[in-house]
Amino acid sequence: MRKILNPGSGVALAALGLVAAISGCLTSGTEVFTYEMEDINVSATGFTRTPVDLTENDTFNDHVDEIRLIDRVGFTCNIVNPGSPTSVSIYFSKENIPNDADVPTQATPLFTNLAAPSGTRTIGYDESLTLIQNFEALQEVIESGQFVIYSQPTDPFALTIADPVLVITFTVGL
Amino acid sequence: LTSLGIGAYGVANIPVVQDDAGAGGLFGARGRLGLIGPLVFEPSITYFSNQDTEVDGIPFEAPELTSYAFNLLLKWGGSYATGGIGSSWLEIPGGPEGGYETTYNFGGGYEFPAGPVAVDISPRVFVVETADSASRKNVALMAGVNYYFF
Repeated sequence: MRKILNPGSGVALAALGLVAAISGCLTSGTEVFTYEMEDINVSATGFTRTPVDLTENDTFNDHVDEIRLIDRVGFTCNIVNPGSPTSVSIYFSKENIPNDADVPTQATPLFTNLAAPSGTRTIGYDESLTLIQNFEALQEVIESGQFVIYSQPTDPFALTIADPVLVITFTVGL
Repeated sequence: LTSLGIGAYGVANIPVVQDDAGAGGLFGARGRLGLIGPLVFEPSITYFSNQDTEVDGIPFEAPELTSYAFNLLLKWGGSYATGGIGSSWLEIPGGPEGGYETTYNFGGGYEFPAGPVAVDISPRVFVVETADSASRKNVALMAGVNYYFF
């Protein structure tokens, strides 16, 4: 005998299906945290290596096993250049690359040839969003929590990346 | 079809547990097609106006969100419960490229009929699935007017 599902039962089944579909993602939230770094004194010769350990941050550490998405990444800093105008490139990698010659080919550019005029150039969060390259690779290393940043000026002048702060937005399980 | 109507709505949108988005407005348009018995089919488009916000003095440009939804309404009297599925265009400044994400929504409502016109009030929750087991959720407080051709 053919059984006809009444509309109320159909809606109830559809509602159950809807609840089942979304139950996994209901318990997530999007949070922002900042990671303050020491000043980076960029050497005139070779790459300056700066290890980053996000597990030092309480917010990151609280959710390290429940990270579901790195939504956006930015930074703020002051580039202090006491010498002639130059530019600076920054790369990143999950593991340390000991040989300088391998950095440009094995690490991933965060940005390259960023102008560093004489004096101080301040980079705010909004501007940083326009500078960052390779967002997907950056998502991966941030999710891992630990990575290395490599900095080098284009010309042989030393400069300082002062007050660098990473600003990370991520979606995590609650 | 037992009924056919169109409507427009607006009012407020409240992001839930989203540090980088502030509460704002919303507006949208919908159709209402009476099916059988108490069932009504509702296609809709909703523009969410998230507001920019600040965290630790850092300004965040709000995500852009437009949601296309197909809902079923179960009506009794003027009241109804509703749930639906659709797709949302989500663009997060400084994040990955914008794209369409599967979106679920559920809620309820009440229609105050006056001839062919009805005032409609409906709070709903929109769940935009941004990754496996991850979502952005917005509470939509919707109020508007529907016009029924029959």
